[in-house]
Amino acid sequence: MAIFAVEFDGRGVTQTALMRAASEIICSAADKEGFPSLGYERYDDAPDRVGVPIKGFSIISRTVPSSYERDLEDVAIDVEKLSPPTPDYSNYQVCYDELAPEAMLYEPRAVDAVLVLDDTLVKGEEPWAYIGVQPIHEKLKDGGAIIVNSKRDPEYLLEFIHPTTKRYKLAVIDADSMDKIIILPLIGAMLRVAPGIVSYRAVIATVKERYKAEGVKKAQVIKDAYNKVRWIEVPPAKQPIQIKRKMRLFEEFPKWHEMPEGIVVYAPPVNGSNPHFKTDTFRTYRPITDPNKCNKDGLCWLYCPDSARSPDPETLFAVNLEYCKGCGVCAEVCPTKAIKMVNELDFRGEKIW
Amino acid sequence: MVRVITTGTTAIATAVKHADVDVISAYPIRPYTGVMNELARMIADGELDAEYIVADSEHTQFEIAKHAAACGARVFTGSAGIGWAFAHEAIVVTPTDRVPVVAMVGNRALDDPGNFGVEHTDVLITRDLGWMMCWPENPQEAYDLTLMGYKIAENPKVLLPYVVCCDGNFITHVRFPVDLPDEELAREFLPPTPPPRSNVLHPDRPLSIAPHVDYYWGAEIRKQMDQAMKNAIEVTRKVHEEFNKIFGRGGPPFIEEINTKDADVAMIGVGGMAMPARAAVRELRQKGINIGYVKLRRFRPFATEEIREALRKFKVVAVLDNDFSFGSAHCGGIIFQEIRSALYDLSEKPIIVNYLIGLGGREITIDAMKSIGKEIYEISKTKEVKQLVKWVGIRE
Repeated sequence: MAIFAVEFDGRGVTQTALMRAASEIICSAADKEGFPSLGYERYDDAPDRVGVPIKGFSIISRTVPSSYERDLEDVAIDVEKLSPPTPDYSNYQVCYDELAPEAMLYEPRAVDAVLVLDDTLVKGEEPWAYIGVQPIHEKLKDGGAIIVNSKRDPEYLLEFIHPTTKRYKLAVIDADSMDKIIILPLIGAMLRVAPGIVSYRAVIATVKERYKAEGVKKAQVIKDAYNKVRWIEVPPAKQPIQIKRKMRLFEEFPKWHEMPEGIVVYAPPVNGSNPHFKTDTFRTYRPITDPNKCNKDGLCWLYCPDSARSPDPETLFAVNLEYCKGCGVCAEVCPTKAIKMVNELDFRGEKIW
Repeated sequence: MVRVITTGTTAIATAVKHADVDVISAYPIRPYTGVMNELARMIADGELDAEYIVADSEHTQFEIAKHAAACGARVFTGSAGIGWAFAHEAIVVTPTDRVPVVAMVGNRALDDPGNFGVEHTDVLITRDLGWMMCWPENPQEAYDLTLMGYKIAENPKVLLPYVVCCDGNFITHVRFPVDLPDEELAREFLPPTPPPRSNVLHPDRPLSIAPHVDYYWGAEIRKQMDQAMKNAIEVTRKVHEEFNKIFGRGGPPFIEEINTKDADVAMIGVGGMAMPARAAVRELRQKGINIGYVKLRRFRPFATEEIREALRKFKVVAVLDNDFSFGSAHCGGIIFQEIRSALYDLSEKPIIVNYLIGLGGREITIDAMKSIGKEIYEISKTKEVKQLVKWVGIRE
């Protein structure tokens, strides 16, 4: 018996429902094979904040991994004709007993695959539930797979991923161009690069059932992604790297008698920012000011909802990138259209860890 | 029957739908919000026909539920943590007015500090007031206990409010496989119309509920409630029996014993902590430690006899409390106080120790459960208690 887990990484508000759907599809597929599963979005992530990195999971307990060879045979069959798997519930209770304690944890201890809905998240995440930057492969088992929704090449994305001593597969699928439900191509790609978690046949049956009239069309998306996905094998780095703003270990937090009484938190200095919680990983697009167009009226500084801009016109109201969430309000209010929002992955060669 | 992968909040909402409630009063607070969202969706999609009232606060919300129930409506409401605390003026009078309100509490640490995590103290501040209380282990049981709640609360011998307490996140927000019965089967167990009772507000027969009384009346009113709570024990047994017969599950009414045969020592607790406890007990047994787990399914009414019978056979019992009672006897948890008191006059009784676990929503792991198991096994050998009340996993 073994526990398999899949992690979904996305952004608050815009991708919350998609992540839940992804988790539900994988869990329902496991059920179609006769194996119990749990699914959840991380509780403290506060997904009602736009852009905040959030995580969701599917956890499955099964006696044997699903068969890669069987999947290959099934992919050759037309999705419309592919019948659902015959569930075998004979080990259901034993598997459930092993799985249930996982429900009392906020995150699984290790995952077999990471599905990334937004490619800028590969730089790492600092969600609400976790103070410090979590590399994208934080929970990944050695030999696991990261599947990213991106138009870019895996080699390009690798430049932005923390080096790790783990060995893993880095796969890319351009989900945005395949279906508006972008999790479907990601799941299809996962079936190929991280086989064993759930079977292709069970996922196709689930998707056909879930999307009713559009079921066959959506199942075809899974199949196309299975065939289209590109990936590279990432060798382990020689040395583990130092992570910027690493979360303290549980034991490193103050002891109960060392903490100030009465839940006291001292304020940051005047004009300062919260030194404990930084929000740069909320950002998909970075504001860049064109010095030739800037009229120095300061509206960007005035309107910045996070006070991330300096009041100094000489610096073109410089952005403190540790706090800028990339909301784009400054670009919107600028009367001379001097501010352009540029994708985070266009900034190559920056030191990010 | 259909198996779905869903959360405790959706499971409870489905039970409420199957109960065919008439009035729902709602006010959002995490982790209860999922139930009101799901019920709103059901009404919008035409799956459920009920009055859905969004109140201006929890206080009004529980007043609405109480008043609707006083008019004879079948009602549902719910809250969590500090929201439950804020509603207390209404919560206190609901049992006294003898109206069968059914509520859900998504257990959440009381503010301050603001914290989404589970602690059972929120609902336990109500423990003495006449609300029946139960804790499901998983969403499946949450469905079952909610449906049973209406049947127990509406029994004319009981007529007390009933609250289903769910561990925040671990049960309310985690999707489990849940077997949902057909609506017809649920109706067979719980008919859509509650049994008739006399304390119903109706224009045809004007009456007043809960006028001011003097000292000629107060004590007798309390005594009536005392009797109702005593009656609830027998009614709960019968309802469980019937539920088991119709649905083929549901277990015993008050406590479920897990691997307690020949056990020297046992742990007892409520809610989701039974999941890691089951695993810990399995693993410890493989190492030759004879340990069991007793799941306390219902805390009000407190089934003194069943609990005494279940626990008297052990050498040591560890009570696991995800709650606190500052300054209480031995400064232990609330459930600990009650269990120790229930066993006091037995001539032969186990050593009872207390562990405060999971406070502030901290994860409850198999390892933590195993180390408690090992500690109480050690006590059973040495008969020496070094620390009566222990805080698990605290940084000290």
